[in-house]
Amino acid sequence: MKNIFFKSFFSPWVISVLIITLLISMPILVIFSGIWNEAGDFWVHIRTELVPQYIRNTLILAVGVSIISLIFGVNLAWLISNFDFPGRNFFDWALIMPIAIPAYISGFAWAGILDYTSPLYTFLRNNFGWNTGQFLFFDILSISGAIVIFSFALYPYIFLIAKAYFDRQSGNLFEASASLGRSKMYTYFNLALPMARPAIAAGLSLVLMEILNDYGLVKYFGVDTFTTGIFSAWFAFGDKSAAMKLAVYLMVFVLFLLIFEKMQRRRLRYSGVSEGKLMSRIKVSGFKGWLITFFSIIPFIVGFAFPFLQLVYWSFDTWEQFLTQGFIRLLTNSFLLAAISALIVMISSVLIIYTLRLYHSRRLKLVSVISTLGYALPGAVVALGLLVILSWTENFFIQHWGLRIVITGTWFGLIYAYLVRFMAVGYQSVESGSEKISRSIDQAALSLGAGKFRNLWFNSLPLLRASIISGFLLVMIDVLKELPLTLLLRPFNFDTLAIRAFEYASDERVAEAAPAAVMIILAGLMPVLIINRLIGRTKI
Amino acid sequence: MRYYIVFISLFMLLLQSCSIDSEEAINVYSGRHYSSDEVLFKRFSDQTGIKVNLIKADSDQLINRLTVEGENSPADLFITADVSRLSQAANLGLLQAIPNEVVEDQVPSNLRDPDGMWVGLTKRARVIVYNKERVNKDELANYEDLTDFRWKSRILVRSSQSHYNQSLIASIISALGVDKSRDWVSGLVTNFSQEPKGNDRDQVKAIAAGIGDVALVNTYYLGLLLNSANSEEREVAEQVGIIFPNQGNRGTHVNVSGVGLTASSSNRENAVKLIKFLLRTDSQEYLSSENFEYPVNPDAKWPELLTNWGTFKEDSINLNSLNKFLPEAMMIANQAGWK
Repeated sequence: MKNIFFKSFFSPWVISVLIITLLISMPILVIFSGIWNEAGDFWVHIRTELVPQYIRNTLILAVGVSIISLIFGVNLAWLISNFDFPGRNFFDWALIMPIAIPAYISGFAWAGILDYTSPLYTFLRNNFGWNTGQFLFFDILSISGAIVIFSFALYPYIFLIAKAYFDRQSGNLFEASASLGRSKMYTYFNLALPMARPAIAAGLSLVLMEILNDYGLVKYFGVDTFTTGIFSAWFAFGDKSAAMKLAVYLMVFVLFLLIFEKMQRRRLRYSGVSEGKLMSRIKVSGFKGWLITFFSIIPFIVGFAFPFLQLVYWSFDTWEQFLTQGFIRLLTNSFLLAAISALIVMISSVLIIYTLRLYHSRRLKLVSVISTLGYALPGAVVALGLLVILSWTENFFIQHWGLRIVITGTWFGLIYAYLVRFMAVGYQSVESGSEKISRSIDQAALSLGAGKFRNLWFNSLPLLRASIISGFLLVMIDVLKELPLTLLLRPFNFDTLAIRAFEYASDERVAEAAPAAVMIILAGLMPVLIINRLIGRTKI
Repeated sequence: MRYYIVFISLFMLLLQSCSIDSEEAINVYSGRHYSSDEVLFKRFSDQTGIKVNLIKADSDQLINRLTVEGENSPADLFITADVSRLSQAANLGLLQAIPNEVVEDQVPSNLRDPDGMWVGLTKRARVIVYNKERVNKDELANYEDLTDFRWKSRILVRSSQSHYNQSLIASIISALGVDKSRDWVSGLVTNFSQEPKGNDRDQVKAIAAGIGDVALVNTYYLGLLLNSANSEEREVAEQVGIIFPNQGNRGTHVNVSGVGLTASSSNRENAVKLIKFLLRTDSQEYLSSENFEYPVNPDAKWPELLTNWGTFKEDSINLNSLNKFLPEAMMIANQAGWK
């Protein structure tokens, strides 16, 4: 192992990956260094009064969301990928759509649908005398409400990555299984699921990180999570070092989970199935077919249709105001930023994963994993790490070269911020795709004299296509929705759709926020449609 | 080779976008998210030819950005919607004094920092709203009354994570001392009708739904609700009456949104011009009419809604001291179980 690492250290691949990962890890390492800070007077109070309760809430949330989003994400990916049922072609892309709605906006919308003054509740109250309290049916502003909202906003991460995997899965194994008299159920649970584990784990880790970094939804729903603790320590108690300590604990926890999952997985072999015949879809009609349709329609309605319609409904009153405020500019800003950032994230991800394939180095792997941690942290914490690095660089330029450059508050700074933030999304997508490609393919190409770049371009990239495309889509939508970093690090007078929506929503003017939210969703749907076409072609 | 050229030119393009604007401009970091502010900035630019560059973000994080940027910060003005954040910035040495003569004829002294580090722009009162049918207005006069047994399971308020509640508790500590404030908070929590959740508007809706009978909210949000496009929301807001607490003694707790001149400002003269502009009677009246906040300039006329609610006595404690009590306020709230 060691020898390979030393020999390969001067390889341009390893060096460029080291540079990229260090660049991305720097703001995260700045936060890590906070563990040595002396915490202030309130540390004991925070640790004893707040943290235990917050950890409990966070765990309940994480377990609840994992269960629901796995049930829908994995099963639907399998069904869509392998069966033909009524409405399949619609659900193929419609089930990705919830991802275009930021979770906190979905929360606001659902509260709006069910709250006391909503048209539905008003109608039922006035005509049938229904009174179920402040909210219709059940109190959505609660931890169970938050679990539902998160699950149906986030399951597409699992769905998309798992589907990209199932779509490329070889049919040979399943035919073998069938010819041995095994049922489809047996094949699914004992062959397909265990083999798809890298993909499912990748999706689930994104879902969990999203829950950990959320502050908007949990704040509105009155659910105090670990992130609440970080913010409370930082801003209410003014104890930054306590906040950073908590952030480090959070990162160590996530790092542990990621490494634990990978070690569990190492014993198993996943590669070697990508070549060979792809499966063709099995037609399911009648009652069974409609049952699948019904199962598919639930997440679509809860995660997309209802909240979207509520936002459209609100927009009727506030549309004009939005249009007069230069929305073309908002749209182009949001889109350009998202596309450029997604491109850079994907290039970096492919470079890192490919290099890790070529040179099995544990140390390189560790640096790469650290570079993905920015996704699990609350945006404000990442922003702090970034600010430190950016102004350190600016000061360095002034002191050593007398050059006054500005990075904070520029496109450049913002894209760097997204790279730090969303590396995990690109990385997880590409990695889960890569694990499925047999290493013997690389070995064959390289031993036949192909260069490493040639092998990447003509061999790995085409095989990784679906994963890269879905990763690109995820990052792009994530950037469209991103808030805390954009808010703080954007250039002067620079607005995006997410910012416009947030400004009103945070001010309790949800109706005024609605048109911008609708535009975020529409903008997010465009890549969903285009890219789904592109992935779709890989299947016969 | 081709790729290198493309790459380098892209990089240059990015660097170019980083270059600093040399035209006469003021850079503003603002924690206020209202479009009314932007309208005023534009008016200012039209009248003076000075451009106003704006970044709006969370005030806590803007303080962070100012701290990290230090003397290189491009910001000239720092605006927040919560006064304790301004005194925090002042304590961190991020602000410099605004010359007294600039603002003394526009703003009463209790709405300014004694050292001139910040000056108020608008006021919001944290009031008690109540259901007109179920509550007799005479039963309630002070914040302190809310701990009375008769309000058991009838009180609604949002989370203690909200700046507004933190400042309110701090004001109570400043008036009653730590021990009595602890009793007050735990008495209040005992009387909660449900776990704190949602925002101020939701508390008013919960009154309409019969969850509770009285709520602590900002006047400003009640104004928004009364002017909502949704008729059902207006109806909900009309069911509640408003009480300005503590009129017989120290007065109602008022929070101020305000502005400070940053220590790093390279453009003091113009920045001060903008402050003066925002405090002018016409600007103040505009802000008040758009957002239902109270103007700080005593010469500015109030919009009809605020006039109808009537004048009231404000708690005139030094707003700077609120910041000092903030950590204590949070600890009390946490220990009493006010989520």
